[in-house]
Amino acid sequence: MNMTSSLLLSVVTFILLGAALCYCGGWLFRRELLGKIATGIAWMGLIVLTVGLVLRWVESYRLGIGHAPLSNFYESLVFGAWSVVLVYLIMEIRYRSRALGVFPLALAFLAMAYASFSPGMESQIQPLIPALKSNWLIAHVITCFLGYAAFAVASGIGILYLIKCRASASNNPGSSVLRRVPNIKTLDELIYQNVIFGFLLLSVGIITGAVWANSAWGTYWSWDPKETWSLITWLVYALMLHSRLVRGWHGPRMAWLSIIGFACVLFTYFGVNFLLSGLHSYA
Amino acid sequence: MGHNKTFSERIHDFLASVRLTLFIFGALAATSILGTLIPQGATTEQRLSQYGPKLNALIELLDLADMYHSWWFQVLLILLSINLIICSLRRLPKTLKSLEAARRLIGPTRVQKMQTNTDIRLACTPAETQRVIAPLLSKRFSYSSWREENGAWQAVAEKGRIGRLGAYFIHLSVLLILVGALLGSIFGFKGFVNINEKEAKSTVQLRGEKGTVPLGFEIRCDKFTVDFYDTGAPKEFRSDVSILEQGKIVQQAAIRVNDPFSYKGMTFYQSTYGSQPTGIVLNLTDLKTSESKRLQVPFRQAVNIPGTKNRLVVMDFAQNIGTFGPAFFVAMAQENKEPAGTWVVVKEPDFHGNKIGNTGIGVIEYVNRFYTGLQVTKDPGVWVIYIGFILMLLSMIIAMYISHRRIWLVFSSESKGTRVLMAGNANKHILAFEREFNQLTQEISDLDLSENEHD
Ligand code: HEM
Repeated sequence: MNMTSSLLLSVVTFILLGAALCYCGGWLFRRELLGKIATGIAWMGLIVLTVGLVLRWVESYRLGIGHAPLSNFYESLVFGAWSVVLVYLIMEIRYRSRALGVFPLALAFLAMAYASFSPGMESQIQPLIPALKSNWLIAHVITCFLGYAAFAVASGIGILYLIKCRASASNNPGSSVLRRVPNIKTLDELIYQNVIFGFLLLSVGIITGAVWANSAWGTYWSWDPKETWSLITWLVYALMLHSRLVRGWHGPRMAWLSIIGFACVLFTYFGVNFLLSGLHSYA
Repeated sequence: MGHNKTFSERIHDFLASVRLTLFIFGALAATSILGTLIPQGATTEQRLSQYGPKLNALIELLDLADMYHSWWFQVLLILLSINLIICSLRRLPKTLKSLEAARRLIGPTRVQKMQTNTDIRLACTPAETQRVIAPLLSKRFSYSSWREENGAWQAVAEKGRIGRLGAYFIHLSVLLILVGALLGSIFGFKGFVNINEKEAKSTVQLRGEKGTVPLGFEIRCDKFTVDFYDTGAPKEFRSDVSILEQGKIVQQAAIRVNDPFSYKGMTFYQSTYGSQPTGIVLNLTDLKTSESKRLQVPFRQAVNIPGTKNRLVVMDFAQNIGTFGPAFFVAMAQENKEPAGTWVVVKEPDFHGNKIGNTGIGVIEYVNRFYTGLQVTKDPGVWVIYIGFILMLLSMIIAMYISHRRIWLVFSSESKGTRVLMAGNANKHILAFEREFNQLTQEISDLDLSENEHD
């Protein structure tokens, strides 16, 4: 009975794959139409993801253990995919470029594929332990994930930036494919825009997490590995912002830092769960 | 210029430099990684078995097992604060001066030299032009000023000055957070207290075996309740407590997970719970003489057995040992003998293990009571930190999204009307500013058309 949402969410996996492939095709074959189709499919993916999440929320109330679908690893992967698609589509509207969709959609696809088809993934709706019943926690998870999503999009642009730099330096034939990618200056600006948005949201995320910890057990900061890794991520991006604003670093260095920053995000999210132990063992 | 700086000037430059900031960010990140790899708070034995004596000596030398409180980590944080203060103090006067200068008018040559500029011709006199453009500017900009000199007009308009100050407020908020953490570590404490139902406590145990702290009042646990989900996992637990001053109840409250209770600067958090036997009464029998006596003993506290030099302690309790039901582990230290212990089964007084040496032990009565585990903290720095948090978020929005935008205009009279030179700049979000600049240019050019229709 609690399966309608899970079924819907595993279907999304294929929608996202379709969108990623169309973005890729539109890019490689330089077909405007394919790009438009990709955007359409991506929006459909976002809508189905939203419906799936809402349905799961409703189902949890039907089971009598109602809580927002943000409380275990499965749910956080779904929400992560939702955030990445959302942040990407907003950027697409604002900057009217479809060439940047491959990376975020592929990432969302991987997250959903992992959530839906990995053996041993616990996709049941589980009751919340008392410490997790807090509105601060909901705010904490939402803001962290939107921040992570912006960092993901930024690192995708960072990768494109480096490819484009290399191609234009060596003047190789592949560079004609890159003509649809916005120019280097715009890419640089887009990385920066995504990073400041992500930095703001990660800050909100860390702060709401601290407030929650303080209301749950009286310490706003306890240096547990997940907390520490989110701080490390935050420091990497602070370093990136300062080097750009004050020391005037631009271009490749920013692209590299956006990739390193996102690697920290991934480690905060996956690595800490699998390799280190601490309070955040649930998500 | 660099070579005739004195040593102290060079130190000052170094402490104000963003290069140092980048270094500190990198150092904090790298050492924090180390801290997540080396288990924090492990005991010496655990470390010795994991790392061996040599590596462990290094870990102890650098305090790596309690890294975030080590002297060198604190030094990094202090250096960051000094860096932040000196850098801000150095830059602030310049920023303020440039904000003052931002409202200065500039002449036609400089206007034309700016990166974003435009040249519009309108078919009306400069004075008329000024009359129609002035409302356009004041609609878009929070400040604008005009000057006329021999029929030529100049204007400057700006908005978003506060965006220039956002970074200073962010940095102030970082300092507030660090100061708050310092206040907490100097004037606060973290401890815990386990209270049996119906009992009261007036001291708390500090974390890390650092002794006890008196509360200055008593806290009594009136009732403890725990609800479970069908799966058996705990759903909610709560303690109903009373605060007692000189034996009188002054306040009552319920403490739940995520819903702490504060009294006199101390905050009580529902942390754990458990059950523990109380009111234990033992029956001790001398197996030689068959003489028996009753003895009331507290849980986990050694007592003297009256009339002897022997000491006895109830060390542990199990709800169900094997299939024999509840049992207590009792240990006894007898004169001239090795201390010995045994599990005493409650429901089977004749159980062969219910004795130590020549003393038979039985349990006459006990009550299994819930106790509640409360975390107790006093942290006068929390409010400073929360103010820092709010300031940080507000000022980040200001610093990141409010750009300081300026427009300069110069009109000159021409035979067929007016020439309008316009230029502008913004300190960030250049693309968005250029969009706005082009819109304004369009609006001004459109004015010309409507004026023409009038004519
Ligand atoms: C944890 C500590 C710090 C944080 C979180 C932080 C945060 C920030 C942020 C978010 C910005 C960007 C504002 C914008 O987008 O306009 C910024 C700018 C800046 N920061 Fe920091 N900062 C920190 C420490 C420092 C330190 C120690 C220095 C000392 C040199 C410094 C110097 C600057 C400067 C010069 C700017 C540029 C200001 C401007 O463009 O007007 N920051 N800081």
